[in-house]
Amino acid sequence: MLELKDIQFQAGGKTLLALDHLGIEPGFVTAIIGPNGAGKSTALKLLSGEHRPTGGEAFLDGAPLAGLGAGVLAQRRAVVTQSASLNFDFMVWEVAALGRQPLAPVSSAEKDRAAVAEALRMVDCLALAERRYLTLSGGERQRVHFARALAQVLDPPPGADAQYLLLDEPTSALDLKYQIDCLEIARDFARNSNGVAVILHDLNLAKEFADQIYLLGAGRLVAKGPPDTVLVAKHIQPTYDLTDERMAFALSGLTGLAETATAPPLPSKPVQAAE
Amino acid sequence: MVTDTLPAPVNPIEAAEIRRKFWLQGLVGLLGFTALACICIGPVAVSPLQVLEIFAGAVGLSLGVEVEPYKEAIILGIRLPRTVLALASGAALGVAGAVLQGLFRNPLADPGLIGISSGAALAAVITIVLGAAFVPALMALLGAYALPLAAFLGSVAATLLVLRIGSIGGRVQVVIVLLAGIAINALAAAGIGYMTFLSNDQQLRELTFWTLGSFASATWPTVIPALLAMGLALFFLLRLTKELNALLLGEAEAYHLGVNVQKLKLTAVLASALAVGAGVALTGVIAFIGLVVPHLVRMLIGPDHRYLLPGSLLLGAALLTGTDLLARMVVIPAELPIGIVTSAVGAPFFIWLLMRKSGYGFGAA
Repeated sequence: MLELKDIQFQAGGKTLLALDHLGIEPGFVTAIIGPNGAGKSTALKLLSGEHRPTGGEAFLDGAPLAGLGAGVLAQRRAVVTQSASLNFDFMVWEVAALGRQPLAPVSSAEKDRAAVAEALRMVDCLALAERRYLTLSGGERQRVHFARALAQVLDPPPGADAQYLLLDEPTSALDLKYQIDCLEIARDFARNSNGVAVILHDLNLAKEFADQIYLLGAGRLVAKGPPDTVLVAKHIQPTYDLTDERMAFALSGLTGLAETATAPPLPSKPVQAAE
Repeated sequence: MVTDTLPAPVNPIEAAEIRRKFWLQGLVGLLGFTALACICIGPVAVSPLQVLEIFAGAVGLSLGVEVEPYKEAIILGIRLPRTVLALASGAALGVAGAVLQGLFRNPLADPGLIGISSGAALAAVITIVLGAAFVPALMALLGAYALPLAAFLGSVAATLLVLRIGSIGGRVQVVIVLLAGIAINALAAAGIGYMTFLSNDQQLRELTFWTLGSFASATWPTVIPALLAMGLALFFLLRLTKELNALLLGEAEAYHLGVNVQKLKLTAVLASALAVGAGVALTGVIAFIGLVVPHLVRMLIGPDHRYLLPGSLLLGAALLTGTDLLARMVVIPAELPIGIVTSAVGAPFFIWLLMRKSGYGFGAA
């Protein structure tokens, strides 16, 4: 279990996040959703150990993250950020292989190669293995970084505890097929007794793939629970500051969940914005 | 759990490994050649066989080759320490350049551009001009080591200052670091200029040595401590290869991959300053080697630091011994200051690099 307890995170005199509890449980996909600036990425950075909380603590299996070194953590969880960038012209294969680096003490060259090949195959990038990273499109680069994270957690040493994948909008540059591929991979990974935390903007994807959803707004928890209790107009509309028309549109794909019985089509003229 | 064997697309990875090995061996050969040439060629020509005999003689063996005693004195007392210093300085500049480019995630970083060299030179120049007048006891105590020590401290101070200015909220901002480097270089130039203004004739001659660079004063008593410092620094730098690879993705990403980023930065900066500072202390400022060598090596064997650092070590050493030979040969019997030659050759080469379409190992800066 990877969790935040009584957590506070302040920066520049502002409280960016204050949560009683947020837990990533092995076996399940936990989605973190909310409008821009709600604190989703902050929550993920606290879970990964990249940020230290200004109050409270993050725990991995009961042990405070602050007491775990970068190397220990890297053998338990992989992170896909939105900021990963690379100015140097590695081969795709080499980029994915960076994910095996923290496992060097417990792995072998042979296992590394197999894990990297498997990770690239899962994201459909094996054919790109010999390509130069800088020649890839944005979506291809995002898949390669996902493969790098998979390579890091796919093949843990025997007897290792649950592994965790922390994904910050892993589908932002992906087309429809790869969005679904990406989340299917994450779900399969979770079903293998591993934990997954994923920040999503697409509520349809959240509904389809999440077992547990945390809805954040303005740095606080608005609702948590399974999709059908969180993805309802009562929570979504005020948190995202949506007009009735926009709300109907947002939930139009969430059949059976929308409290509006039938969603009207999106108005052809721009709706008068509520701002 | 993972049992797939690697399909065809992976073969180019093996091909890349073979290519890297080929080029690294080639660089070893090139270094052997330039170093030997540097030892053999000069006003007094000594054949490679005679050089081997002299080396053998130094450890109590003999190959039966006839060697005049004065040649032995020239080789062991003059050319060998000089060649060793050129080789070590080139190795240090090449590796430090590659490490700093990785640390700043920017292919334009270089010990010179971010102030390491000018900080060392300023400290050395201050020591030359003011040391004897203001801290005579300390100067007497340190003797021949006062300059190298000052140069080292100067390089560390300048580097830390540049890092400090360039870090905002704990994150190194690459553009600001480079701009801060320009500012620190300008400040150091002003300081060196002022010291030049204050200096007397003899100090002025010593100063000129700093601004132009030279291996001419290499003697064993000063070269050996510098070698120890550079060896120690290189030992630390060459262990950073995997961490630097991870850092190229970003600082947060490197942390996620298990890298202690703060420790990495500190080690890289301090060891680079030690390596370059120890060299600059004896040779003065040598420009462009630290910038150009890693670029060349990336063209040959790619950006992976596990090969880039050894490659930069070898090529830096080979280029600087070769350049020293050139500097000694073009205006016989005088010799050109080495810094003039590296700049005269390195700057046009770098311009050519910039005008070329990039894509052989680094992207847009």
